[in-house]
Amino acid sequence: MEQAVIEPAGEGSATSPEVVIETRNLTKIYRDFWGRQKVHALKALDLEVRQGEIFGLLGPNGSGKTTTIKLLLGLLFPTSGQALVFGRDASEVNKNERIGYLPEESYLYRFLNAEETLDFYGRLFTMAPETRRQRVESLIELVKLGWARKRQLKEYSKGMARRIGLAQALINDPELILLDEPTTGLDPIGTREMKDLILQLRDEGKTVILCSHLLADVQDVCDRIAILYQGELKELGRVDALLKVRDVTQVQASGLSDQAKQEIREVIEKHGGKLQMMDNPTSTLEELFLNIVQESEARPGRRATKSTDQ
Amino acid sequence: MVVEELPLPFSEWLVQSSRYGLAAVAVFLIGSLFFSYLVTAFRYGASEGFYLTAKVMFRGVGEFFQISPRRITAMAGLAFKEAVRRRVLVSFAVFIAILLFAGWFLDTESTQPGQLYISFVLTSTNFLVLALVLLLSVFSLPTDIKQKTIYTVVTKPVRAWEVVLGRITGFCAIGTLILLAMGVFSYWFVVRGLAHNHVVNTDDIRPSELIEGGVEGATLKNRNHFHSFPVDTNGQGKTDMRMGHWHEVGRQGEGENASYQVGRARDGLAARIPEYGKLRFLDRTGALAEPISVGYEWTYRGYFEGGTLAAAIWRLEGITPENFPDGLEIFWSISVFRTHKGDIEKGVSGSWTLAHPENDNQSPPIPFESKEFSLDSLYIEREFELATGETIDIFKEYADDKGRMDFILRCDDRGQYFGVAQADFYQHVGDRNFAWNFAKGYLSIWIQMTLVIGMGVMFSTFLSAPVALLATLGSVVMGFFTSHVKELALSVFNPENSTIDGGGPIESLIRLVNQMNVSVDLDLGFATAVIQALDAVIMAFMWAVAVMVPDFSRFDMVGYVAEGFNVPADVWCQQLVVGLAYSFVVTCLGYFLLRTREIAA
Repeated sequence: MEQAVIEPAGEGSATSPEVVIETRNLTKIYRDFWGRQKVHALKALDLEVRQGEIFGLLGPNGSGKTTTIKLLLGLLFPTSGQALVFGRDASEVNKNERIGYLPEESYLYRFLNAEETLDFYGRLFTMAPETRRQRVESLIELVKLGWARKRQLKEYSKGMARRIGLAQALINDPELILLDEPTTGLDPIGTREMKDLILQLRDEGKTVILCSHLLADVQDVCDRIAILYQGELKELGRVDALLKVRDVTQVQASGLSDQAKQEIREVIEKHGGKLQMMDNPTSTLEELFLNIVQESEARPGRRATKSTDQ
Repeated sequence: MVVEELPLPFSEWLVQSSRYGLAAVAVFLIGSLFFSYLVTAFRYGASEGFYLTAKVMFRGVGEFFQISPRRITAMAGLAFKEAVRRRVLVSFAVFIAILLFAGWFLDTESTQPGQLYISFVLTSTNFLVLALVLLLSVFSLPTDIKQKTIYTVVTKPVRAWEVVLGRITGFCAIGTLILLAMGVFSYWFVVRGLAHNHVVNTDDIRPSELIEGGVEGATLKNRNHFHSFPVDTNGQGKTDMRMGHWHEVGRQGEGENASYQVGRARDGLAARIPEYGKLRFLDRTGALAEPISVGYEWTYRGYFEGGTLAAAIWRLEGITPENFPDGLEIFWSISVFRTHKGDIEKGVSGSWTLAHPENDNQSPPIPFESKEFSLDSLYIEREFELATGETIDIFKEYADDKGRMDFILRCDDRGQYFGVAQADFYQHVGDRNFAWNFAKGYLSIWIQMTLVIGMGVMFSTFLSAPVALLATLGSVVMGFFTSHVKELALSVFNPENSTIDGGGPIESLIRLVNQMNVSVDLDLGFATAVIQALDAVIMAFMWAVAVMVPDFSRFDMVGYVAEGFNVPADVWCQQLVVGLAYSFVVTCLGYFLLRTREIAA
């Protein structure tokens, strides 16, 4: 695969209204009680996220994704460098008025029910009581938890807790949404809905930062990604540009006869190309699952088995 | 009387305390800033450390003015719900159970049942509520941090002020609710527990020797006591004072058909207002002098010699017929120092004399027999007859135009000594509502509760729950013994001028292990010098902590309420101000500790 071009991070500036997040030489070293270095979690990260894009932070466990998110939220303080959100230092509290955050697990108060949870988080923002009530109602509907709105969160399944976690992240109608592993614990339908919602948020002009190690999810929704490994930025750019294999050509056609396929093979050989694959494409398991569920909802009862290769 | 030192008037106290408080805050602020700078400079270098310290300080002040009542209410509501869902109301059930079974362990034959009941309910409420809020306040924030639920809060526009204040407010709200419920039940328990009646055996009614045409008798025994009473010709009378109360007695019917009804208990639950005077002493020649020290005794009281001209004189003001139209009711409590045993069954004889402050008019001595460390009282009628047959008005004879009157106490037994302090004598000037006084007792518990919550939340901003629990508990225990710890520390720093022997903790341990008497000095040498130096360091630390923590013994109003005295406004206002000042300081500390903490570290 061709090496993707790394976009210069310092191109924009925090003063530009388009730049929502900017990190400059952001470094985080975890130390023990005596100040001795334990882990170098983030090494001189330079990053810029612009308004209205879905930005993915990718990397294996321990690569520094969550540390970056926590530094941006002011949950951690940088050892050196700077993290700016909306042009302000990440440790400033006022910036949080415009931010929504879904942590990697649903860290919510389990003794509250869904309504109480959203009402509580809503009260933390400058929001009229009537608006808060409306937001609570619409978000409960959005995450499809109307039937469980009075149940304490300790009775929720992991997927339900994830949904209400998302709702609390959106309670203030934020401009910037940070989602840490948003699809964890969700079933395929929930995953699809989450991804659709992320795209919808982007369409509404919001900026989304997604942190995940589920590559398919990231590929499906992100405009740009950064790949971190052992605290260092390894790759940064547009998803389509990064994934494009420039020396391979893909043609998809339907209704070709065997003879036509043979002719295509010959044309490739004639031009010195090497045919790597000519086959019927396969769908994804996610698509298959969603089709089955959709079909079952439309026509309840035993589903006729499709003839497939056994 | 319960107070050993009379409280300063609130305004005077406020001026004095403000100076001390502001100086303490200034020292604390400078010390904290210096310490913060040292820590950050060590971490980030000298200039960066200075910048960070200044940034945090200015940000703290800025964020203070951005505090939102709405967010505090939301945080407080969360703390309240958390407490309720953790079933803290069980503590209330425990309290009710304690009251229900109080009869098992309360002395039903006590001579002061009112005092016993009130001190029991106030003390049990005090410790139960303090223990409850201690557990609530120290576990909440560390649990939030451990379970990471705080991530979803501090990533909202919530200031650390609001996290700390919200916690304190929420726990104060639930504590107040529980305290209110306990207060109502306690009041009911005390009032119902002391309510009783007596039946009169009409067969024992006989003509009175004191009241012409009247009768006298006694009630039947109920609640381990009975009363004697006279009834006048109008059929009205009062019983004697037993177990801290008396009853009204009324006759119904005449002659052989007469029956006697005893009313409800009176004055068992009182809130007396005392008026204290200025005390001075006379020596055996009758000249003004300092009282005598009787040796290695409690030095609070001054002593004077019996059978001489020596006396203690209190000058009271406001002694006018308008204030006391019927007469004067005086109360006293004295200590007796016997130089010879005498009749040990009998108290030492003393007398009271009323005297005009500007001329030589003095009443005949009114004798009494001492009751050591027990409150005694005397009612002096406005008019009484002298031996000469002349009737005098005490206000005309012994009070001057300004309403001042001297009360002279003498010890009449030669060779014995009376010991008194200024607060040992007072004039009963009126009564306040007992329920309101009872509420003031609960107010002092509420202030203590607020302090414990503040300290618990403050410690939990930077310590784990068990360590915060120990730190808060240690501070509270230290708070109850601050004066003792200070005395102990001074005894280590300056043993020659101290009455406490035995040295510091290490020296005491060595004495314990070696079974050494505290009055025997350790052998001089290098080891002793090291031990004493270490003790000095430990006690310096203890002294510093004792100076910083609130003096919880100041908040003890149980004595006032239980012994039937009105809690003066000067006292509870001072307590309220001290409570609020400490709460403010711990909130500030909590803010800076939380703000400078990496929540996700």
